[in-house]
Amino acid sequence: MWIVLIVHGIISGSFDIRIGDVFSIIGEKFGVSVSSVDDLSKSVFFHLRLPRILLGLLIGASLSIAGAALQGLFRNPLADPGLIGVSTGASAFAAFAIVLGIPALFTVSWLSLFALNIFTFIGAVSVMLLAIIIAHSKGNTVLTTLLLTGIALNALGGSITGLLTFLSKDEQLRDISFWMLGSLGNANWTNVGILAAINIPAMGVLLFKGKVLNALSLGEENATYLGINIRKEKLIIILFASLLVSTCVSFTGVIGFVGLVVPHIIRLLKGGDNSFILLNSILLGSGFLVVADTISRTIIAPQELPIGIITSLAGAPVFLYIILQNKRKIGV
Amino acid sequence: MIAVNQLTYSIKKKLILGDISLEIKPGEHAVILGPNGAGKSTFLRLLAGGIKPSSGHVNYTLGSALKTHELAQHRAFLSQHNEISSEITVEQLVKMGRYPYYHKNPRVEDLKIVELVLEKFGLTPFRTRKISGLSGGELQRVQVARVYAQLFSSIEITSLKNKFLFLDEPVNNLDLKHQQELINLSNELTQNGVGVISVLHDINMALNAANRLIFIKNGELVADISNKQLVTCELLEKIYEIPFLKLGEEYFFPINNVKQ
Repeated sequence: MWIVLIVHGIISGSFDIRIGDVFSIIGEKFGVSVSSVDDLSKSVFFHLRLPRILLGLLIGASLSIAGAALQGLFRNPLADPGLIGVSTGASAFAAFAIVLGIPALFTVSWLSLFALNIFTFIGAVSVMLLAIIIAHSKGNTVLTTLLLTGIALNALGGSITGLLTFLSKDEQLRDISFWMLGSLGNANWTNVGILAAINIPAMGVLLFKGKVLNALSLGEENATYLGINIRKEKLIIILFASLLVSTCVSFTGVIGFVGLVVPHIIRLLKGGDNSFILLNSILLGSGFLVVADTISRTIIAPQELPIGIITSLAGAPVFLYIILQNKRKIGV
Repeated sequence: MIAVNQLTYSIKKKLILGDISLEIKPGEHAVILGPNGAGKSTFLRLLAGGIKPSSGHVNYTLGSALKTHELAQHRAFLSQHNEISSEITVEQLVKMGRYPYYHKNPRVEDLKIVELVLEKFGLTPFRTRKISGLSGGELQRVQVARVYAQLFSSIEITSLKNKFLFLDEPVNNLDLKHQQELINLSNELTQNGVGVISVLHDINMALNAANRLIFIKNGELVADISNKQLVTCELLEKIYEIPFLKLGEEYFFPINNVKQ
């Protein structure tokens, strides 16, 4: 199923590659000549389609496992990676960079190319650290304070972005709004490489936190009695989940609802063991994002719909469903 | 053995517990009693290492500075607050009792112990049931099974020796039959060398279950009694501030002030 979705993503797009050709191209790389493929197909496959699929896989997996980890940590199924203000902080910094034209200020070409990414990453990380510092008291991170701080920082970031939107020129406005809705459009091998180098180890760390999150579901003190060093583990989970979201946001803009919805679907279908949820969030999340991206590329081809629209369009109804479910629980 | 030395605990300069020193040995069942807000639960959590004392020490003889995960192999704690935020099954909850003993995946021995515990508590038929569907009393029994599973270093019953079990108002939500079963369980544990320390409200149950009664009032140790004959109406009146009547050898009943 997962593989079918990926292959579907590879072949469809404003330029369709025949499925047979995909295998021929891969075969050729390994020195097996199956049938000859035209150069255009080869070039689209290697320089556009493949990095884009890989970026989609990485982003989907990162956002989903970060969401799953934070939902477990906050013991709240409605928690989302954007919860502690990381995405909004990054957006505000991105809007700032776009309006001030910061990328153009750098003369070194690679710096100018990545200036926006670096700038938003700094924004995301500084908001994350600010939230953690505020919520930190006597060596312990108070989760309720962290949540409230996140709400405040989200509001602040949102209003700064709004203000900058208001001040921006038409062309900048388009850049900002495109960024706010997310896109995998700037996928290339460098981006994929950087993202993989940071996010795969970070995901590896979170993947082994199932036990910690299960113990935490009994409450922080009960987890201590089960031998979990809560203060340390909380900080690790917050740091790595936020790092994952920060890198994602800085490469693709804000892609909403993936981190919220994916872990929850798994929880609804297969129950609450966190090790299971974390692992399957990676699988389902990566598949979901590649499908969403395929839709975004094909639905109004040759133009592209921002992927954030698709994920939110699919995610919002699920979110409402979760709220209704919880309402029923509270009502009883 | 747990040695408590000049223990105090305060929150924002308000003294909750003051200057308590005592020792608790493996094989004894000590019950902590006292009025609401006396500091009973706080004392229990301090003994178990769930919270840190403001001054003084709580030392386990196995080593003075045990790390969190090492301590978890020497004692288990049944909390009063047992709500669980994830949708797990009875079996998964009992398996969490084995967390201190394995890193990523449970060993064969851990799984065997889980089976043994499920069987002992009559939970085998309910192992796949969701925790959220259990009643308060059923959940309490599964939680007892979880802390019981945490006490075993190996599948041998002898591995229970020198372990400690903390029970904070363990009979909450339990019917009379299961209350008695819990008392039987604590007796069985003490016979196998486990030190049991519990907070109870029922003086008669305490006299029935324990061989030591520790009375706390306003954060102070009022009485530490190992000879049950020393529990008198006068002592109880001093602690609870209502008159008591003694019936038979060791039954105490509070008397309504107005009627008197």
